[in-house]
Order: sequence, then C-alpha cells, then structure tokens
Amino acid sequence: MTVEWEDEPTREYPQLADARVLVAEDDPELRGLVAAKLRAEGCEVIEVGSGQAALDLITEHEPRAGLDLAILDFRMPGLTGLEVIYFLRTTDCSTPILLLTAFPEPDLVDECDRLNVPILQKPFPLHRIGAVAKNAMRAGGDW
Amino acid sequence: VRSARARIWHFIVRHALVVAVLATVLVGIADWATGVDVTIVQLAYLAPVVLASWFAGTQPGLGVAILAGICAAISQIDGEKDWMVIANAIGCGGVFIVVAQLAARLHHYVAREQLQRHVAVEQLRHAERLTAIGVLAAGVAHELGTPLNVIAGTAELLDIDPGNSDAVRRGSATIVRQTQKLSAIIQHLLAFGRRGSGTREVVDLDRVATSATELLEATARKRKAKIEHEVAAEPVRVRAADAQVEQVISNLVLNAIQAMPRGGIVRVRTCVEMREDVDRTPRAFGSVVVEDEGMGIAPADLSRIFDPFFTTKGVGEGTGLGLSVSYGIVQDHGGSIEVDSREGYGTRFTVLLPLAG
Repeated sequence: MTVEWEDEPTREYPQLADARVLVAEDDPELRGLVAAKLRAEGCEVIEVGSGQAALDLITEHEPRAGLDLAILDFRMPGLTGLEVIYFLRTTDCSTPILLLTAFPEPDLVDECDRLNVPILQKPFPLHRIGAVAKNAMRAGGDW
Repeated sequence: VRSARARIWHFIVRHALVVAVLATVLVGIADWATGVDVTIVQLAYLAPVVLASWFAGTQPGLGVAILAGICAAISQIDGEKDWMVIANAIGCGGVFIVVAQLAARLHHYVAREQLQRHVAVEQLRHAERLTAIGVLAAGVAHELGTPLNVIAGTAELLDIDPGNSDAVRRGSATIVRQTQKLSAIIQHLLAFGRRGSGTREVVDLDRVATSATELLEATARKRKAKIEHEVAAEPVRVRAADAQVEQVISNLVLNAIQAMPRGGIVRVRTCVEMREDVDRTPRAFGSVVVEDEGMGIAPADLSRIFDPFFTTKGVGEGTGLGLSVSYGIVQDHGGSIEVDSREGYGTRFTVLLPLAG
C-alpha cells in the first residue's frame, strides 16, 4: 500500500511521542528535515545515512534495537532500503517499517505489500510525516 | 547529386506512361520496317507494356498493351500477309493485356509489402523512442524526488515559523505551492515511464468508459460540448487496471473537448474489433473509440503527439503529458492506440486492449 498524504490514523495507537524512530536516508538535508519534524512531535530519532549503518544499528542492539519505527529510503548507496527490510523480516523482527521512494515501481509496491511495508512517495509534504509515521506504526508488526 | 544513369532512370519512372507510349510506337515502326512474321520484335512490345503497368498503374498499362496490340496488327497489314498473321498479331495484343495485368498486380503486391514493412519499422522505431524517453523520464523523476522534497520541506518550515516576516512566509508558501505543481508533473512522468503490472482484473470497458465520461460531463457542458456515449450491446471484457484505463479514456475525452473551441459532440463507444497481430493472425481486441468534431491534428504533429511534453494547447491548458501517459498505460496492457485525424474535420482515437480470457 502507498500511504496517502491524506491518511489520518484511524486509531491513536501507538503514540508518536516517546517513540524511538530510525531514519535512514542518504540525503543529509532530507534526513535532517524528517528528523527535526519527528523530534518536534516528541520522538527520539536516530539518524543514519546508509543501509549498512541502519543494519549495523539494528543488529547491534537486538532485539529490534528498541525501535518503534524504521523509516528507510529505498535508494541508498550500498544496501537498499528493501535489502534492510529483507534482513529485518528474516530475523523475525516485527519492527514497523516505512519505505520512502520517489519511484514506487509496481514490482516494489507488490513486494512491499507482501512484506506489509507501507510506502511513502517522495516528494511528500513534511507536515504529514507525523500522521504517516503513526499509520505505519499501526500497519507494522503484523507480518 | 544524381549520376546521369540515375537521372535517366528517374525520368523514365516519372514519365513512365509517355516513355512507354513512345517506346511502343518505336517498336511498332521497327516491327513494320522489318516486316517479318511473329518474331522477336513482337516480344519487344512487352518492355513498354511492363514499364507502363509497373510504374504508371493498371489502367495506363492496359492502354499501352492495347496500343501495342494495334501497332502489332498494323505492322502486319501488308497486301501480301494473310489473315492468319493478323489474327496472330491480335493474339499478341491479348498476351500484352495479360502481361500488363500481371505486372500491375505484382507491383501492387510488392508495393503493399514494402509499405507494410515500412509501417512496421516506423512503429517499432516510434515505440523504441518512447521507451527510451520513458526510461529517461523515470530516471529524472527518480532523481528529482529527494531534492524537491528538501525544497518543499524547508519552505514548509519557513512558512510555519511564526518568527518569520510575512514576506518570508508568503514567499515560502509560494515555493510550497510550486513544488506541489512539480510533484504533479513528476507523477505523470512516472506514470509514463512505469513498466510492469499493477493490479489487474477483468473489467467491462463500457463501464469504465461510462465512469470516465460521467466525470467529464460538467467540463464538457462548460465548453458547450456534449458527450454522446453509445452504450455497448454486450460487455467488452478486458484484463486491466480500471483506474488506469479510466485515466486513458478521460485524457482522450478531455482532449476531444479541448479540440473543439466552439463546442461540438464527442462520441464515445466501446466494441470488439479485429486487428492483425505481429505475425498477422487476426486477433480480437476490446476497443474504446473517442471521436471529436474538432480542428484535427496537423499531419506534421501526428508523429509527435505521444512524446512527453509535446502540446499544441495554450499555456496552462495542458502539460503535454496526457497522451504520453495514456500511451504508456495502454502499451503496458499489451494494447495500442490508433489515431485517425483530418485537419478541420476532427480526430478519432481508438484504444485497443487485448480481450480477457
């Protein structure tokens, strides 16, 4: 499923405040914007700039690195967001994930549907990130 | 610069009929001068006959064949010849006519083959070019997503920061709005460049056409146009992503409305049509025909209408992506779009999609 900007969380689970969110995005400026916005919503944000760094962080701090949500960019140097997702899912990690991509190809959309990972298409309005993150947290974990 | 031989050949081809008539008369004179019976000379008549029917067409060919027959007959009329020889000459005329017919048919066949090959090559080249543009479009859209997001996001932060002056906030609101427009264009580009399958189900084309036309009725009324949807007698079932096909039909109907500045009727109908496949086996397609009474498309523009950003509409009326996106979608479904346009009379688009099952 692709998360629409208009999506409002239908259920106020879980709270965004105090949530631990990983933001893996190779563009430092976009990463900074997203992180700042989430911090403004009360999240604790961990920023990484590559798929490998995201993976290291997750594996170092098992289980789930205490994450409530992982926001991953699809195209990153080295490991792609999808590869990180595969790793997360095969290690029986039920962390909710949100994938960012500018180009949701049908194959990618199908694969994310299968893995129960919502997609947020770039460019997205920054003020929606909170609602989208909440939605993703609600959708995740049931895989 | 043409060589002399090529120039002569070109002249012969261009003036095939005149050359053939002259040649026939010359052969006739030679025939009469040599005065022999059925001879090699009479075979020489075949050259102008074939020339005329090949390059000038069936009827000129027949004319030259008859002329050759007359020449052959005249050249035999000589006090000492008997009627058998004349009958023979007339028989030759018959042969000339048959040869003329055969040559014309053969030429017709060869020309048609060449034309078909030419059309096929052109279509392939066109499709290849659009595919290349699609890949480029997807790549560009892909790369622009993140920077555009940064611009929009930063402007958004400036806009909501109460510490900023009104001027800054107005400016940043403009940036946000403009980036939204850019996002919309990128969405269209992505739709054009997208390959592979979305979720497809068996849908009734007529139902999709109905929902597309209903949405545009208000727009049509505003522009004094009327949409006439001729409902199909039976459902036309195709396997397709109905939202995408609806987008294609909407694009075509909207174009049709915009092509009629003084208003008119847009006719929409769905049916089953037969088309030849690549290997020339006939195959049934579900088709949606959208016809307008508008200004038509200039022949020079016809080959470019599916190119991204090609538009003849005024500024703000269209991005030039509607038909490209439609082309991408239909191509993706294994179908094709045909266009038939007469300047000043109107345009007919036919969307063909493989039937389901």
